[in-house]
Amino acid sequence: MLLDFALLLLGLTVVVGIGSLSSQMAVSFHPQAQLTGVDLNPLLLPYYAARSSLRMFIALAISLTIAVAVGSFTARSAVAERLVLPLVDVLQSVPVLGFLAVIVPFFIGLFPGSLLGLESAALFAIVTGQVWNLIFCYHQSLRTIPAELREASRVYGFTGWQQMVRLELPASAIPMVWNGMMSFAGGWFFATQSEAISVNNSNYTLPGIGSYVAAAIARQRLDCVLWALLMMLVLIVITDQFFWRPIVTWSEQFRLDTNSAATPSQSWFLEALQQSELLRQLGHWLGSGLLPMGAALNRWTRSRGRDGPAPLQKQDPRWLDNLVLLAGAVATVVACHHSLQQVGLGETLNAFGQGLLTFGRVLAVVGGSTLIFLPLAVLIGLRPRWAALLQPVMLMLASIPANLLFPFFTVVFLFCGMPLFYGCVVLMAMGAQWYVLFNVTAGASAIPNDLREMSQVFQLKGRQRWRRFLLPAMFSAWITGAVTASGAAWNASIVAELVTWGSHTLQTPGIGSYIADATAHGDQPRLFLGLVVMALFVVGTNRLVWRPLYRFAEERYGN
Amino acid sequence: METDALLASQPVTSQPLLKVRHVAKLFRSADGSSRVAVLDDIDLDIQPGEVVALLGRSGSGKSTLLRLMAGLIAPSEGRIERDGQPLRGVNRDVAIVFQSFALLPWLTVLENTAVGLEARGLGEKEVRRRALRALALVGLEGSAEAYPRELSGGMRQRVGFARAFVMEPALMLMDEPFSALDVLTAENLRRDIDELWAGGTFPAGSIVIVTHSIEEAVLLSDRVVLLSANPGRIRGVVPNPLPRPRDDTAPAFRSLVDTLYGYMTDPDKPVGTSPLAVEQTTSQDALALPPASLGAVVDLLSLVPEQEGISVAELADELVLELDDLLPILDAGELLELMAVDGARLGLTAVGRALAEASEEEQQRLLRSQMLLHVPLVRRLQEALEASPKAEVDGDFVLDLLSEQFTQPEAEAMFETLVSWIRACGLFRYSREQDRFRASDALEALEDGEAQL
Repeated sequence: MLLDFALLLLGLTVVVGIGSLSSQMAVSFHPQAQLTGVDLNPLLLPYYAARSSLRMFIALAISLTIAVAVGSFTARSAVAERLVLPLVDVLQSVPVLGFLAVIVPFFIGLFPGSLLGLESAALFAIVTGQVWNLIFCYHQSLRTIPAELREASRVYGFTGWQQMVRLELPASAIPMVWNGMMSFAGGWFFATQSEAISVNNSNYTLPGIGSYVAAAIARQRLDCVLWALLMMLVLIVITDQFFWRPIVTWSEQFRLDTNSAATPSQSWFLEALQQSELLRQLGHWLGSGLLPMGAALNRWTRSRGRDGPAPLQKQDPRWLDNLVLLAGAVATVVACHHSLQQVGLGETLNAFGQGLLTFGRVLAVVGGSTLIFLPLAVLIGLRPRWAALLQPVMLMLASIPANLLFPFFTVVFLFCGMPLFYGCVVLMAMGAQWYVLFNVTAGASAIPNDLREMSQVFQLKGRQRWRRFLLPAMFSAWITGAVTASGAAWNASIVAELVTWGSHTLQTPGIGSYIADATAHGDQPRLFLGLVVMALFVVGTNRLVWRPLYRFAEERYGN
Repeated sequence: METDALLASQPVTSQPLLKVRHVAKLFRSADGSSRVAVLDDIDLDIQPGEVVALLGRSGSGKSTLLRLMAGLIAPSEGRIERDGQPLRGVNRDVAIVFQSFALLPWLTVLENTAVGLEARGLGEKEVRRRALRALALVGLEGSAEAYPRELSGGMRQRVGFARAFVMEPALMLMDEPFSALDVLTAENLRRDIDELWAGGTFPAGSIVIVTHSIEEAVLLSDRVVLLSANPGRIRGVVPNPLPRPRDDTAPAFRSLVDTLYGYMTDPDKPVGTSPLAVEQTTSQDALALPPASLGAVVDLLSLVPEQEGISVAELADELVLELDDLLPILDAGELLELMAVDGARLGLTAVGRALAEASEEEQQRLLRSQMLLHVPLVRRLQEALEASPKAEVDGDFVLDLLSEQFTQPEAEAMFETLVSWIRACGLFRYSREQDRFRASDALEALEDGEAQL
């Protein structure tokens, strides 16, 4: 009973809180008075954190909705699959923060005189950070639904509504929850970064943990940055315990293979919820209240029995490839012509040169974190107890938005006079390295026990142990980690190659600072050039390096 | 027993439930240049109140035919009529029992059973009542609240049957419903289904069952439709007038089983008064490789008594092998001219006898020479290797040959079979990383290279 009461209070608080927070999203806003809004009093931090989290959750909901809509579409239509998926793949590679600069003026114009414009821009940034991934994930899970289940759903006359709630959503639940959790963790970076940006020589600020840090940086208050970091950690733990853990546990009932999970995850909060009598009643009322709605949706989406049989063998028309190639060629010509006219050949080459510099840094980040973390990952991963204990911690570390850590490093760099040219590699690694550590550890702990015992019995040692046993066994996991890490590093370069501390500014050449600089000065042609160059580099490395490596790993070391 | 009389005498006068007329199903060949027929010129009527077994080896398109009848896929040629009307979209008369059960793991047994009724828009209470009744019919009323993952395979398939029963379909389609179960469980469930049908309480009008098990076909069906493979055509229809319930030890039962074994092991044997002359050995079959391992062929040789041979039915029984697993081995044996199947009896050729006696090394040598002599695909590869100055041939060469005639999965499966065969007897070498075939005398070079590492 006490528990019920506590839950009731909690629920009411959440409802009231969200209501009042979102009412403030629409507060009127005058572009002239911006930075004054942030009060550095640490007691206000929970409020700022709440504003940031609300944004994160709204963005997650938007992303999921888009992913389900687009994913269902691409899984059903061969043409859409052929056209949309490559597009999504490319969009995935465009640096999100670069988008932001383009989109903020647009949204401000959309909601003149209201903070909603900035809020929308921030939401947009978070959504673009996670939605592509989720689209792929949903598409993929729909495509891998066993054929006989699909056939059963058709023979037994599932309505469109039933197809979705009985088959497609449950079948994709587990991958979507995991993917959502990862994207959410990555989303904090964009959420905090988008709260305080300077576009077109003016600064825009939204109340939130990111703008709090920005203000602290402007006033050189390291203590406030520390407080913000602490708040962030608390926030990550809270969302993990009260949101993701329960959802992950709950989603395990949607396992597609009929064998039960090896290690079912547990959530005390979910158990509490499930034991609550009050919630059960509430769920019952809600269920019976929604029943007519479900029935109506069923009637509404019932196939008329006249539908032509959906083709099982999907074949996309051949003209499509040619069309895409043609469109791509036209676009390239137009883009080249335009950019040469606007910025000139010298500037274009300069941008590519800057891109190469950043590319080198990204490689350094991936290589360096691999060298450092590989032995560590083996140490942890081969010990199940350590792995079980440390993996959640790693996930948490990966969730800390790297930009909250930047000020500490900036101060150190300023203090010992370290040039940012090298220092920014460390900054970029702050966000990226965890992906390597996390994935490689998972890879090491996934090595079958038989193989481990084999390596002990046959006394594999030193170089041979690494070359014949550990490296091949962890190769696939390393690639997954390295791909994610390099993506994160590219994104981080925009904020890592140009850092400030009060009136001090450190800047180093690179495509990231190029974009940041163009953004700040509202130099649209250079901004677009920078974005395109970076996207080309990202897509290029994906296609030419990561994908072949991935295929090699699958063929050589897959089962 | 009245039903028996009714069934045995085939109600020819009534309107068929389903008419299949000149139906063909074509799939694109792997290289896209042509279309490969999986089913060709199928004519079949399903009458009310009968059980029809579709019997054929793998590649006969029997599951494809079932899906055509269900309206899950559309025919490439010909038409399918339901109640005299052309079938468009999913056939609302049918329910399917799937090989893999196809239950939704996140729904309870009861919810899984009720899912089709819900879709029809029946009231909640009525749905529940009917679903529970169907579950009682398969003996699962006590497990209504369980989830599929908590049940054994046999019980899961019982849910699959209940889900079909609850629809009270005019036509129930079964796609090898017992083949994912262990022998005992399958036998048990088959009996139960047979009893339900014989007792006249079966909640479906007619049954079409796809199977590769001859015993299963004889136990359950009123007539057996025999399909040929590559492309799937109807070889003929064998009536099954045995009285129900059927006793699988009765002489009449055994003799029908033996007859069917004869047809199954000899694809060229005309079935009954079949109007259809089976045109076999078209160019398509020339390159085909049966999906059997060379080791299995050699192992089988030693089991065949040298002089008198052995009946295939007996052999299958002895090895506890499904016919579907045994037939490819026999096909491979025949292709390599190590075995000869005559009627339903398996005998050895002279080479086969020699090989059964030979030492390991001699066996490999014999296999190599038989492959070069009798397997066209291997000969093509050999010629290509000889023509190549470095004695190397890309894997794509072989895959392209196969892709002209077969669909993607078929071509890939045959490629894998080829690789396993040439490796098993050391005829050529194949490196998967380079996707390249090499002549085998380069083997010493490889050994040298390894030594240097």
